[in-house]
Amino acid sequence: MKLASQYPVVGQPTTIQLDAPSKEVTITYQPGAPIAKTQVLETGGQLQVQWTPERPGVASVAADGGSQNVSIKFDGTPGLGVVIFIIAGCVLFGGAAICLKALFAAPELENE
Amino acid sequence: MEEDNTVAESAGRSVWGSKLGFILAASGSAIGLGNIVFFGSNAYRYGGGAFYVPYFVALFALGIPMMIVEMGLGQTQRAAFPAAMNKTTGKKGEFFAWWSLLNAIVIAMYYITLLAWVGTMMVKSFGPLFDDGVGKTFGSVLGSWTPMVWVFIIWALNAVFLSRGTATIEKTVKVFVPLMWAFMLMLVVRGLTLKNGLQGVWYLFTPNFAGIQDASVWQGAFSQMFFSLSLGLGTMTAYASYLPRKADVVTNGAMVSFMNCGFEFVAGLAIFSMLFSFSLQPTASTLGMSFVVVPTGIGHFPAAQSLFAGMFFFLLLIAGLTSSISIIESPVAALKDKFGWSRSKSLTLVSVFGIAGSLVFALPMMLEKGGADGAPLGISLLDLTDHWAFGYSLLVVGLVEALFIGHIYGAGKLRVQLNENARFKLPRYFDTHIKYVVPALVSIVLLFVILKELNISVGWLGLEGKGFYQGDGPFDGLAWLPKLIFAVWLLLTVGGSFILTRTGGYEHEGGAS
Repeated sequence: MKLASQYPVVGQPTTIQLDAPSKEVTITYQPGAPIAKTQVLETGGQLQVQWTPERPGVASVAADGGSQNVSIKFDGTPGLGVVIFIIAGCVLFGGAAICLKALFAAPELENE
Repeated sequence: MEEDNTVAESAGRSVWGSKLGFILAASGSAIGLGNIVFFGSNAYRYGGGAFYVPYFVALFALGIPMMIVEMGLGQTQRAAFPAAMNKTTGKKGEFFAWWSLLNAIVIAMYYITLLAWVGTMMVKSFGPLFDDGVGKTFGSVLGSWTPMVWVFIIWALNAVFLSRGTATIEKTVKVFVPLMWAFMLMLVVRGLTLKNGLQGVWYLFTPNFAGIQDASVWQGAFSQMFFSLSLGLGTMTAYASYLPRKADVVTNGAMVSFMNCGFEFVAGLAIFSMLFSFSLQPTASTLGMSFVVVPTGIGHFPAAQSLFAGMFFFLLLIAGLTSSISIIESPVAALKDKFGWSRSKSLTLVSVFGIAGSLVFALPMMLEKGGADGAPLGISLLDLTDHWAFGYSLLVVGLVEALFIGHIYGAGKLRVQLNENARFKLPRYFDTHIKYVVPALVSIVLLFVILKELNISVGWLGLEGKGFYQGDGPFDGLAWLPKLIFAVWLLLTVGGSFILTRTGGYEHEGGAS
């Protein structure tokens, strides 16, 4: 099996080239996760099949001849992902910085 | 406070040499192997950025409050976990504290076996790690005698780092913890500069809200928070017992929680950029992620694979060591408190039992040639012990701790004591939170764990060993093993706690300590 790109883009069609005839090709998005999603492509007996990735991230592409993993890129920069990245970073490191400042603002304590 | 790291003694109890020393020690204790790989694995499973919703709820509702309680207990009572629970909640509280510490010793046993494998893999990094594939190399490591030698090395290192209490712990963490952050940041830079590495970061943070509609995601986040912060093990109580009386535990507790979760955040960047770049699928187990998935990714690096693999395993080793010293310090301090023994006597006793236990966990893997035949004994011994000692004890102890401190000692009393020196005062709501909200949250998580464990057609999965053996097959000729592991664990921890609670006494009880 060969993919036109190891990094296809979500929503943009790409081609899967099969080594041997297979009735269908099964795509599993986020394989192994409880929220995994499956997409089945009918090949119609052809060795080449068009696929439009539905979700970004790691996916497994499987046919009768075997399977391989592929990384599906975002179509552009995901705004929500950037926002969560910034918020999470600010909460965690901002929280740590505030605590650090408060702790070191006080004088070193004497051991009783 | 003295900044020169000499052991300051306060009424016979050593104290931290500086504020920084305590922060580094406590954060080093919380940050372990699980933080490096397990958070990324959970985020992958439960919807990327969407996992941050339950994760932050868990941090603020469970993590920080319980961290403050555990540290507050140690600092206000100036005692390790059992003595502190005895002073505040009586013999019943002490019993659960000993149970927690005996589980901590069991955890230290197999944790150090894992570190022995890490040490062996670190050496292999500069040799044939990638030649036959990382999975095969790891199998050969498990099947070799080298981890046995590493078991002795790791226990010896722990003994050296703990030999003079806070003085040697502080010296160790002042080197290891900054090094840990530096190595992790190097891995982040390497990950982000890989082809499409940044896409991996967006993949980690972009939410799939289908994930958080599933109740198991919330259970996963709350469990992750509890295990990640090492709550319910008594480690933070022991460390905080060496704080001066006027130390600000509220800010320290929050600080350590933020640093722990901040490290997970950074580790997520390193791991996800690499996984995405090389289309690797995370596994649910720390073992699989640490020893196979991440090193396989490093093997795909365009250059300096050995250097990065060595750095990764060294990072795991020092993260593990800063955690293991706290896990071992906890029972060492408790034995000192209870029986008035010297540090060296308590440390020797715990180390002798610990070495024997670590060898018991490493030996079956070696005899089974590292999994060439599926390693039914080695895998199940490790997984099932972890299942009981780690999976249940932390949650049960956390629940008991919140109930006992909340209702018997009084959450309000603890709050008033802690607020005396706190820069950020705990609100009155803290009392209700510890008395009712935390127990309710931990009970729900425990209930989920039990429901997951109970299978109508099989029974208790842990007792039947289902799902613990590769291939999910029957334990051919070893059907008795899961029940034996459970019985031995229960006998050692519950029986041991009973004996330790009944033996001797504390000064405040008029005992012989």
